Amino acid sequence: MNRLSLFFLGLVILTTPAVCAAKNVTVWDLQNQDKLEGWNTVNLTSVQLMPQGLSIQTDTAGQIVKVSKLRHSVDTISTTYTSPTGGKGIFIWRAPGMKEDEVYQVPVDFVASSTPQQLVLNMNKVPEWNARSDRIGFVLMPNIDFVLQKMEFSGESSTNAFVYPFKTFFTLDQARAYSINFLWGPLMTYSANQYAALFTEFPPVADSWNIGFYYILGLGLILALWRKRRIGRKAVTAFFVLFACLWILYDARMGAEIISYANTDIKTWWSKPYELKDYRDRGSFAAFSQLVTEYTEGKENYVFLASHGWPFWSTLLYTAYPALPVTLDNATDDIETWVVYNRRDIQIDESGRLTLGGEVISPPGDVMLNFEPGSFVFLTR
Amino acid sequence: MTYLWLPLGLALPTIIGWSVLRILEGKTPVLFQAERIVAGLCIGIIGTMFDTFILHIIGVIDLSLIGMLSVQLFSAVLLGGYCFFKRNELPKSPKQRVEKLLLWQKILTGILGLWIAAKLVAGFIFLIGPPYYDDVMNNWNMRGKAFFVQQELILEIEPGKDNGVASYPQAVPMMKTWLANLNGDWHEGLVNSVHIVWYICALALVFFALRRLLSLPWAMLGVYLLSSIPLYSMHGMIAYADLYLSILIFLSVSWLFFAVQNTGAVRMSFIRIASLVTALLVFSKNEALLLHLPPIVLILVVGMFFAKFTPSEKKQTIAWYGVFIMACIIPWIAFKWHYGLTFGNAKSISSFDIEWHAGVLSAIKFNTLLEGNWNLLPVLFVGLCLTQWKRVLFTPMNILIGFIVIVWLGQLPIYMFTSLYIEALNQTGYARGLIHLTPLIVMSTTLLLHSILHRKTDEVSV
Repeated sequence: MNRLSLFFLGLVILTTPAVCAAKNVTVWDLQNQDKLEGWNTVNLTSVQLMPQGLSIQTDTAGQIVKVSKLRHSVDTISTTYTSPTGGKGIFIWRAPGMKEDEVYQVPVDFVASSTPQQLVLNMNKVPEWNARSDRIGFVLMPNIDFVLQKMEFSGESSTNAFVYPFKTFFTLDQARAYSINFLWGPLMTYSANQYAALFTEFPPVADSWNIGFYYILGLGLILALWRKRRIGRKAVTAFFVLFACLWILYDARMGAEIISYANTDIKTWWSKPYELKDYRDRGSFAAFSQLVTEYTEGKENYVFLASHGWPFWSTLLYTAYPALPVTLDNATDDIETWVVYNRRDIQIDESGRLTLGGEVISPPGDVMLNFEPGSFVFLTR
Repeated sequence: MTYLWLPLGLALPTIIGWSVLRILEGKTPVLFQAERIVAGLCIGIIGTMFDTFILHIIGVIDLSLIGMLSVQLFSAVLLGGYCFFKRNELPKSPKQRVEKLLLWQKILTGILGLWIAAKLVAGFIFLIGPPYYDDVMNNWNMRGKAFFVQQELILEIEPGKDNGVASYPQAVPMMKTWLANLNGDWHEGLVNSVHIVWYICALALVFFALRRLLSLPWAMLGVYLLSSIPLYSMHGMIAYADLYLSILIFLSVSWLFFAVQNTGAVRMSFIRIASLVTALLVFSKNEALLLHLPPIVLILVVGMFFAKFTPSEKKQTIAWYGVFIMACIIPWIAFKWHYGLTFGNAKSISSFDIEWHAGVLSAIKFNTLLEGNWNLLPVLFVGLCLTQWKRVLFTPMNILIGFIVIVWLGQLPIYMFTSLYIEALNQTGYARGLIHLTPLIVMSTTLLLHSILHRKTDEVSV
């Protein structure tokens, strides 16, 4: 058996237990500790490390948080404590991207008991939860006597953590407004939940595959330098062959994403009649804005009322130019054309006038283009 | 049928650009015939639009079909006619060495060629759809459409409202106006289609630049590298002007590199054509005037001393650059001052307060190394520069890499210490800066790769 085969065999033996483990568990144990590392307290009346755990008393509301570096998915958090008084608290965490003074919070109750109790939080039901939060802890309400023994964070099996990164590599993003400035690229998730949520929230809860590539390249470089003495330039060439393989793989992944953008455009825009057209994440608005131009042509102004400003305003300003949009804040008396998009709160009363919240906003007129509920073109008589 | 206006619309600017380049090369042609056509297209567009802009603001023409066509016809007849009548006196262009590819190279070229073609087709489909990206409808296409509709250069789309884009140069919007004038109507697909042409031009120009120094497979490798930079591809399929600016920067700096690398008449040919494209840069995007022109002038000065230009060459170089840059910069700056337009990118540079902004470096690291924007290019480029540091420092490669480093690193303080930090945090500005440099980075990377991996029996090393 040559050296390379031995290396791979060793790798397989070493990684098998981790791969087969049922759960990933991280425990923050405060029992029998000499010092309190990584924990920060604010406004707690008394904080004392004891063999049973961290003893805390509060006269006013205070908080205890730990600097967290969890590196696996977490769906269950079990907190073991004793509290003769019981009381209310808030479980808090600061997810990646949040400001220094912002946290997510979930209210919790501590049961009064002199024996250890467990507070179990099922984080699968909390969409804001992110195991990569850098601060995790509790806010304790006034007048609580509390001993925190340990916190246990458990997540899905390592098999998922092994499979999902590869599965996610080929999961493609859609064309979005940010695609002109950056592309997320190949990402790694570690659980079914993370995988399902990929590209539904931003920034995505996932790691970059680039890190994996850099590790592979680093390892390849070390091997090449090690082998260079024996096989000379072949080692350098082998390293660049490795580099080329990764480059092509990366190109295949990103090229597929770019082609998928066009494919989506064909399926949702180019191959559909106007009434069924959808355009990227703008829905039916692109089709609506094109149909509207028939009614704005030759007009100096039109009133434009939409559910929100961006990107509808700038799109219609461009599409219907040289006709210019105005809002209800402007004088609308002489304007004949009213373009309404996604405003179900705008109705037509019996006299044929547009109303908003029961208030008349236009002279009488007729609907010229009934695009979809809440979206139409109205011409005054 | 509408798309037939694209080649027709590009024909006159290409003839003009080709002719200007050929005249400037004079008795010592340095560009390949095909390269001159591609470069002529890119330079002809901005040159023609600059002329049109000047004639328009002094009131000679409007931006109608007749006005724009007359400028182009006059220039094409004048310059093209000169080249035609002098054709027997002008020497033939240099030719690429004929090389045969090995079987595996042919197969690989076929596969990668099909892959690139598939991405180009996808890019074209993506490009010609309805407006989607902000600066397309706020800026590049919006202004082009306004010029087309009003038949004149206007600074405010909505009267009384300044949305900040009036200060941007007009070359790209005016090119769209020209295409719409030919078509007689504003057609989103037609006016956007020029962007995919620019993307193909970028690939071709990198190929020709590398081909001047390396063998056919290495030049094709450079093309593949550029085609596989995801965010650069995105800019080929979205109607922004950053990719076009990257081409002009590439021509300006790579031709200066070739001038420094060569001597005598060849050097001066490159200097003449480089000075023209450098001057025209200011009419492409605002960044060019502030971020790119000063470093180019700096490396030109350093390059003249480094490459031991003769006193006569120095004088000529200063004269060519001086005349061309003044000819472009004076009217453009005068226009800006006259109308009170800002010199920053939609924001005035005079309004910047200097203070440290945390998080910028982290955002830049994320964009450069951990997103899918650049494939593995940053690591490869920096790694090669470090391992080949002698070549980087002590050969004409320092022109290419010096410029890249100055611009790349020069942007960082702007984001770290000024109110533009938000452009780095939101990732709206920093990546554009790298897009401008991408063809140059790819060319440098390919040259450095070649110097590590090529066999000595190959071609002349850089």
